[in-house]
Amino acid sequence: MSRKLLIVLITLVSLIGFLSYDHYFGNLVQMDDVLRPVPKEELKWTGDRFQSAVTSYLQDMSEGDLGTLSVRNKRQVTSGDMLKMVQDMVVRSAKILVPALLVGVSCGVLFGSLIYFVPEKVRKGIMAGNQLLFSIPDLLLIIFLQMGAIWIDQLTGRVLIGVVEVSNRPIHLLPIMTVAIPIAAYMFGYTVNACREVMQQEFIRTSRAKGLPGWYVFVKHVMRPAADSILVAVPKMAAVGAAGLVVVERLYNIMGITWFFNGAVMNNPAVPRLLATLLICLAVYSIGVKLITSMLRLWVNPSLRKGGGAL
Amino acid sequence: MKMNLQLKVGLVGTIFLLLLILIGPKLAPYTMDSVASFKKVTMEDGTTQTLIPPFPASDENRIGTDADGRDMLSIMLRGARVTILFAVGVAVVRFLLALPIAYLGAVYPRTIGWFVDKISVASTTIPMVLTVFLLVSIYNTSYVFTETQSMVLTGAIIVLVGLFQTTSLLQQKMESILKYPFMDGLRSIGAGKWTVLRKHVIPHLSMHLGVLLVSEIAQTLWLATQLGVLYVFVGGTTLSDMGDPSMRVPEEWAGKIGAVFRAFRAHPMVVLYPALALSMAILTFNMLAEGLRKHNEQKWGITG
Repeated sequence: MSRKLLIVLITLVSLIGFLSYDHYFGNLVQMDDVLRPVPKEELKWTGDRFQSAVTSYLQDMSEGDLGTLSVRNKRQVTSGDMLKMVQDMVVRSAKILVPALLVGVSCGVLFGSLIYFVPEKVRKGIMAGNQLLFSIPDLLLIIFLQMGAIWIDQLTGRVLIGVVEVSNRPIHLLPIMTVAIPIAAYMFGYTVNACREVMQQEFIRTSRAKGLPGWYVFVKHVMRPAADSILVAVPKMAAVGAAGLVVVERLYNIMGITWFFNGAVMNNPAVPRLLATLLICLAVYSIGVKLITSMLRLWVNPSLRKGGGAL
Repeated sequence: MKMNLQLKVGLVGTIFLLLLILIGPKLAPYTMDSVASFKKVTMEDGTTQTLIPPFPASDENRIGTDADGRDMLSIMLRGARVTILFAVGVAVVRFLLALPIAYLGAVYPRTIGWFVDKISVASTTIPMVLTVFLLVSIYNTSYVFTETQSMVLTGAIIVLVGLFQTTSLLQQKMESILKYPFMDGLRSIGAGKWTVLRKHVIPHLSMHLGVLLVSEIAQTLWLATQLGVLYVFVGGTTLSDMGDPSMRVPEEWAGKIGAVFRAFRAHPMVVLYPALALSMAILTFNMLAEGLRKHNEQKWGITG
């Protein structure tokens, strides 16, 4: 056994030993003794309830009528036809998710390409900034954006940027920005890596040696092969956007497709039916994005059209 | 060889987090059962007023309290252990499970490899946070499990939900390693599949493993934050008589943000402290992953 491995093992064993000791003999508090929880029998989940809910959902889905839903979430009571409710939620979310995906992907690709035309120091600064952006949880991003919007509103003396959706007055700018920024940060990384890989190829050096201008070589010879690698990442970005929507809709008070994904309302027996329908909508959105990107990849990569690779 | 800046920052941050894990709870001035439901203060005119939490910074609570009246500094100091160890545990277990499956997928690409690939694509269709939420919701608010059991179960669900995406990534790396010319030589001298994995694939993969493992830790922390917003906390959720959800393990950064986010317009610091602590942890692990990747690239010429 090598000396390094031995040191690592001893450190790990000591660490685990210390943590176990501290867990059992430290000042651990059982929170159930401190808080007054709801009685256990009121929060019981049974297999029979689950089975009957799934069966009736599938039956109603096949008949195209999911019935009505009445949910009390905090002080607000929402009731109505479930499918109509789903339709409204999907429209609200699509108004955020689709523009955010387009803006995020476009900005990421644009900045990822432009980085090769800026001085080294600026490039390093942008890369560090991207790393930082990449690490900010969406919740903190929302707080910063809302603070910025409030500051602008105070400065101008008018409500220019809405920070939260109230009284059915929709807001779009901040939610779209919140979803788009992480997507742009990811796409930036993918674009930089994809372009770097292509730029190391022999034909790029040949093109430059022939005296072709840098921007021409980049647009004509680097971006096209890199576009395929970039497009592969777009479906992942669609999933990142949808995951970000969970936080965005809660913090901006938008009743979209993730609104009812909330632990506090999960005890309502009708809610799982709604969630199942919304998950189907999310799956359709993901499959749609995957189809569009696959078609775009077929367009940019001739080898795929000839069956030379997997979509 | 000179260390790159990102690796240095990542290592310093990791050592700091490790110290927090080890001695943070000892440094915390209060335990989690020290709950100040209200505070009586004497006003300038001599009258006494009763205040409800969250309380601002004072001599007793250096950075104030949360909405339940618990000392925020204690939550921050004690929270690293629960939060970071949970994320590290999830990432390590996922890797230990993913490695053999990925190897089998790389060795049998038409059967296991195909299956892993398809499951991985399918699992990206629904955001991981929603899948985990739906599975955890089955037991999240029940008291069938203790806090520790609940944490282990939630960790296991997060491991399983993200398992095939990690497996697919590892499988791709292994497939490229198995295409190296010396692998043909090994096969021709009769080396067994597990010998090839242990003696040749894992050493080649170890450079990538470090980067992927650290990235997975950052991803798990991010996921835990999103789950917190949905009132799914890693140690389980408890509901009060009024139906308000709160954390069964209150000293956890990721869930804390979700648990108190409603208060952030009135008391922004209550949300900002855990959010900044978590951002620092995610940034540390992202920097470490990027630093390791660059280090491997410079030292061994390994990219990706």
